[in-house]
Amino acid sequence: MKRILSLALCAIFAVTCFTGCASSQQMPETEKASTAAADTKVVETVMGPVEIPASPKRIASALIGITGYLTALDMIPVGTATQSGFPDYIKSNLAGSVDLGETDSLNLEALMELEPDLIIGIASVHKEQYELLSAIAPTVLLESATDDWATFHTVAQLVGKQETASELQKEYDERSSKLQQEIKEKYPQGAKVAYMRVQGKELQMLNPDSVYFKDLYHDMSWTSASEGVVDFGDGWNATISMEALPQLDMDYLILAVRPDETSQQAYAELKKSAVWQSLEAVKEENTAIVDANIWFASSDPIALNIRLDNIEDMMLR
Amino acid sequence: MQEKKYVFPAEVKAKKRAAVVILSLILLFLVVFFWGVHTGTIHLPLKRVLPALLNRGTGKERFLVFQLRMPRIIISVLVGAGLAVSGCILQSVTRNPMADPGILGINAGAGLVVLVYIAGFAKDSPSPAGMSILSWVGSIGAALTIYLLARNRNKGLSSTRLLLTGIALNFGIQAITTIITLSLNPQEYQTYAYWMAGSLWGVTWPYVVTLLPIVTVSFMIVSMQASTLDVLPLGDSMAASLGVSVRKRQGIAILFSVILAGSCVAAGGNIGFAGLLSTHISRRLVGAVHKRLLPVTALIGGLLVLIADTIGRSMFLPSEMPTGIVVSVIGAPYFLYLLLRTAKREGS
Amino acid sequence: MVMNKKKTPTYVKGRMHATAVIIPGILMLFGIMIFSVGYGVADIDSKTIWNSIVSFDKNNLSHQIMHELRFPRVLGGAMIGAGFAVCGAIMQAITRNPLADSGILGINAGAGIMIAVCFVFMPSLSFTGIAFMSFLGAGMGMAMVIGISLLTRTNSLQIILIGSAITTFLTALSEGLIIRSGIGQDLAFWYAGGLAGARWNQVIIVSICFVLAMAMSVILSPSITALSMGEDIAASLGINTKTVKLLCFLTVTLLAGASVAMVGNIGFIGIVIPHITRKLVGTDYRALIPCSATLGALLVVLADLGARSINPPHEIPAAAIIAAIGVPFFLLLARKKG
Repeated sequence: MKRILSLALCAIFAVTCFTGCASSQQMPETEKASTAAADTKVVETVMGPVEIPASPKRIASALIGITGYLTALDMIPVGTATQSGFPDYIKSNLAGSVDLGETDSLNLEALMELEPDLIIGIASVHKEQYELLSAIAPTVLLESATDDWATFHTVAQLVGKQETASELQKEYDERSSKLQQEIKEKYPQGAKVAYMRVQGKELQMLNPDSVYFKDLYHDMSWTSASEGVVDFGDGWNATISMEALPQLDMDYLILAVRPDETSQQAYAELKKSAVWQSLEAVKEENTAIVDANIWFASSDPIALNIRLDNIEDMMLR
Repeated sequence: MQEKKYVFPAEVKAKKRAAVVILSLILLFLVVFFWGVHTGTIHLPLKRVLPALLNRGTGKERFLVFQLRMPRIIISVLVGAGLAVSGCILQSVTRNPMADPGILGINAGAGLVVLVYIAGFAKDSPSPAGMSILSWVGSIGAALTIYLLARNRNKGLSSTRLLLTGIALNFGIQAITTIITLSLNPQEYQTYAYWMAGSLWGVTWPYVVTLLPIVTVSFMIVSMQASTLDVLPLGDSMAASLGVSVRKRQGIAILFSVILAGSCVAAGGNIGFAGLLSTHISRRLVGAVHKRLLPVTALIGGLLVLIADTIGRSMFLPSEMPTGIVVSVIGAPYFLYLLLRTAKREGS
Repeated sequence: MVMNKKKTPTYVKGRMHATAVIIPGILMLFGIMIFSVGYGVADIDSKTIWNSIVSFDKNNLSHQIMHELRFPRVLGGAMIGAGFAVCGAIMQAITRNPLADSGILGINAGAGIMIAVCFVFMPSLSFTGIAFMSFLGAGMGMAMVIGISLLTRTNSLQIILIGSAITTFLTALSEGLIIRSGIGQDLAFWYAGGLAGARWNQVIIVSICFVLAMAMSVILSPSITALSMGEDIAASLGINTKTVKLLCFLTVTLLAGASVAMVGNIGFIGIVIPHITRKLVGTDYRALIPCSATLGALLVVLADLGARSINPPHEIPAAAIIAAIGVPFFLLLARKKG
């Protein structure tokens, strides 16, 4: 009796599986007809060539970083993945956009309901779901979320806004060079800058020689304030004790804090500390308390410009 | 000449009861299945569920049901059933109703290997397939470590020592894990945390095709061992007198318990309590005879995780709550309640 | 409740007298604490240390570092080390199980989840508030484990298993709470068990709880000894087991709650230290409790010193060092028990 039952169950499963596999993965023609008529172009992606609309109108972004790029290009996506909500600096721009949940648990049903004409994701997270996404809309998976201009231009190409992208980059480069020039005039030997962030209960120092920050330090002619004091090893950061702070030889201090309450609270505690207040850089107000989301997690022109604002405020008041 | 086999009345009653239980569970299963197909971010009206299942819905409905919801439903059932049976075997072999791959550190071992992978070897792009394979490696590794540490040349393998070593390993691995997570960047930490919490997001048909044969074959082999599991626990002196083949079969049972746990964790991350809870409930319903206990446990486990997954993906929009957490939240209080009721009955 | 030592009741006499452990222990403790205050990224000599206490100069950077960072850290470390050790000793007496401690039994996990609730819903809560929630959580964890084990005729292994299951459950619950909030890693940092964030406001609160709890445990120690021999024996000695147990629960909740609120979860102290102490002074809790406290404090202060000196100015959580000792210890103990 039991054996019959278990066989029956297996049979039910098998039937369901076959039905599932057999049923079409494609969305029916009627739904796609509206987009099929428009112009399309073929782009090369890490998953092979993909046919996408020439000028997509309803873009769904599966990574908040990509949304940043799109917002800078004034192509607000109809739906976007978020990381604990929309980031402050583009929240108002994204007022009409649908929250699709986290990047690694994207709400596929909501995505389907949006009927986008282009989905942009990243290969490292969405590779296994590529077929599924492609069935909803043409999907482009970017190599990875690198934070350099190359990805920005790739996204611009996808949405047909290459010129805007080039202009934005040109503007940024000009502004950045001007700032670098002014800083160099003020500090011919290079200012000593300590770059830190608050993480939980702890204070982390960031490695100026790491691949993430090398360019920043180089462009702004900054030198490391942690030379000889902190041994980063191969890491890009190191937790340091507050005792180490007075030992750093720094002209300027950048402290990245996240906007959530816990981090803000940790920063408030830090401010009250006597050791903190005794630091020269703090006493002379040569500090910049910056939004960690903007400095760490975003690389679109809007965020980059805010970063320049932060640096300008700190060094050239 | 054929003798009429005498069947004890208690056995007949038990068989009848088991049949009733299994039928009701299957019915419940169908109801929950329908509910699972119906529920989600997109509202699929109840009267459209059957047509969609029979492949007669609109294209959009077919896509929704067969590509987005069905694989997930099937995987939850498989993972639930697999973990439940895995726990059941461990409990029978150690004769202890609290044994479970989660408590014994097998799932923690999977987590550790995945964590080391994310932290050390896959800096920017951890591959989900890689994580699955490594989690399998971690489960087997943890089980092996427990076995090696717990065995004693003179005394053989005692269930108490096995359990205690498992718990010790569990805590040890958790301590190491916590320390490694401190060096991750937030993105990596999120990836790990998600996996550890037991998330079934993004499962597609290839996942099903991989897990289904493993689970089915394991079930078949384990059910063939059912009568052995009824017999004696590890280390008992009687087992030795019954001969080597009994111990070998018990060893096979444990092996498949670990294989099941490893595969299910590889597919769905760390989902705890499925084993404990399902076995407790099924023991109360059909007793301890394994040829009845195993299928009922599998059904209950599958139901449990299916319900948890459906809740997790539809009540926390637009995001979802990882299935493992939902199972713990509904499972644990109910489990405590069961323990209390058993305690009250036994009297103090 | 005077127990006549001369009649040699059924407790095991230790190899040493309690004072032989406590006096050198406390002396060593003070020595290491002072060394630890002077040691660090910016080394400070003992004369400066003395000056910083006697004639504190607000503008002297060394004084500030010591006052703000090192004193709280070292004092706090000593207290929580003693606290966790005594928790373990008491839980082992009540459950009559040498593997019981606040971490294994889910008490720390209970405190942890209530603190997670604080982080998520009340981020600007003061440390007093956090400590209070931590007590509630510790009490809740305790209630769950003890409640179940008291009702069932569980043997000592069962309690460990139930505690383990409850820890898993509470950890999963707190994960669920924070997984959406983005503070997951922050909580992990906090829970990892490090003294880097110890500040005076925390130390003051913890010391109040600590003094209260230690006083209670010392007063209760004869009764605890009786309990550790068995409920019936204790009852026949005229001890009100229910009251004593309740007071013990309160003590453990206070100690564990305060300690977890300040440093997170440092496991294994409650298992390793009482075990060593038992081998030294026997099973009389009048000796066991103060000795465990002393050795526990010593362990944590040493571990913290180690954590700071492995790769300065990097800091690894002191819990890492303690786990490195504790895990093999526990595994060996588990092997012997089986």
